[in-house]
Amino acid sequence: MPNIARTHVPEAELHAYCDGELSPSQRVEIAEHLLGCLICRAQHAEVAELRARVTTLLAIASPRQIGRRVVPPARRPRRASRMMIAAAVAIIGGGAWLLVPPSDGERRPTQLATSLGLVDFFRLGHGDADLAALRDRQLAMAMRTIAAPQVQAGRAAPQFLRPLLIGTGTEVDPVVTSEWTFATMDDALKAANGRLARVADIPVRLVRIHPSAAGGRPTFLIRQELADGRFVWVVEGLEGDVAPVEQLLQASGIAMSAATRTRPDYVGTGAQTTITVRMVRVVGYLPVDSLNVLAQKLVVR
Amino acid sequence: MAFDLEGLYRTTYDSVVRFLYRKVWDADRAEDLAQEVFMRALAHQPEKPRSWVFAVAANIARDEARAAFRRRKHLVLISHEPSAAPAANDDVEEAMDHAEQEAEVKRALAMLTPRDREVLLLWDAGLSYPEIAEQTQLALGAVGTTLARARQRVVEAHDSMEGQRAEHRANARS
Ligand SMILES: [Zn+2]
Repeated sequence: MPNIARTHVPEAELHAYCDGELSPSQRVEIAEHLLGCLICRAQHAEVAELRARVTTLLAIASPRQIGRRVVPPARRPRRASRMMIAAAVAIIGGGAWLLVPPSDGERRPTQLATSLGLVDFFRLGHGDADLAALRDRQLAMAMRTIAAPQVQAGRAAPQFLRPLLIGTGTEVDPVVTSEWTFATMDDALKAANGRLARVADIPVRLVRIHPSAAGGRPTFLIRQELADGRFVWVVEGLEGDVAPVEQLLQASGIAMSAATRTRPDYVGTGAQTTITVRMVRVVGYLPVDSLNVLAQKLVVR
Repeated sequence: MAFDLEGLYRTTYDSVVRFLYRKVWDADRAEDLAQEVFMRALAHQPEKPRSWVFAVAANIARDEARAAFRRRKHLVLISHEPSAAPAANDDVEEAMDHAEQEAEVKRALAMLTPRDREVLLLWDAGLSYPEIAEQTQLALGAVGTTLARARQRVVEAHDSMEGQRAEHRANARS
């Protein structure tokens, strides 16, 4: 269906857009409309602000400390059932407590707990000691947590980690110039010879491509949606091409992860050989620590 | 797929406690009820665990409200004080400020219709539109509209209270 008949975006749809609840094609349609329509852009900004205010208000109505009563078990239950491999339930003093599996007693502080203000029970030991799995869990948890202001555990008075009000899942892509074209993931993969970086296990919502000035590999901007509805962008391109994009991003106040560089590619033959390096960063309106964690999950191929 | 209680617990416990807290307004009670929710989850091993825990939490909170109503008939109601007392004197003022702010949010939420409030709280708990639709019996297309209205109203209600508070302060000064 052609979208010429499209009037302004209904308000409820802008809410769904901000909440990341629309299909990729609907999203693209609205994103395009927003680029060209001042009225809807203003409305969109209002919805985004309203949404952020509600999150802030609801955060006030939260218990001061969650999970402070979750206690690590003193010892392993004598006979562990199959269920207890996942978790153990114990009755202590008449109350029921859900316990994480007993560990070797070691408590692993987590980077994310400090950078994102996760609650105390997160620092309990993990019996299975599978670090990769642990990191995945932290990441999943972190992605849910970063949007919502958290009451920090271990403090008498509540301290709200303010949500980042700029663009909670709502921002239009940071780089909006006419040289950037929308593309499907398949087209982008073709343009990238099948090698396109993105953060694993996070849905891709939008892809933009910028042709290389030198006629080489284009620069890609891949928007991925976190579980909490916010976005990060994976910026990938040849080292020289990415630099101006980075300057633009920096000027817009967006944070960037450390760069991931691939092994150099040798293009051309003999004396004409050029060395190109693909460079990838994760950028977004998130703390740099969070972006760096996401960058660890980059699949470069 | 095996039922992963630990994973479910880690990813949803906070949200469940917050969700329950906004219904019972008592932090300890909210955690007790959340424990109950996860105990039931362990017994039940639901297929869609995330939706399931919030559905059960909503039911438990409803039962709790009824039980509390019955208790009230027999007990002299003691005026409610914020349960967790701050440890340091410096924090007293901040804690009181917070209690006041929280009371305003609570009243603003109370001004919503039960359905609008439920949709808003479920959204804040991290449920998707389809999950919210399933739980509230709303048509999927109605979730956005309901959420838009709920957001608008809760903020309006809250702002009008803030306005009144400012007026009171101004009157007290003059
Ligand atoms: Zn418009």
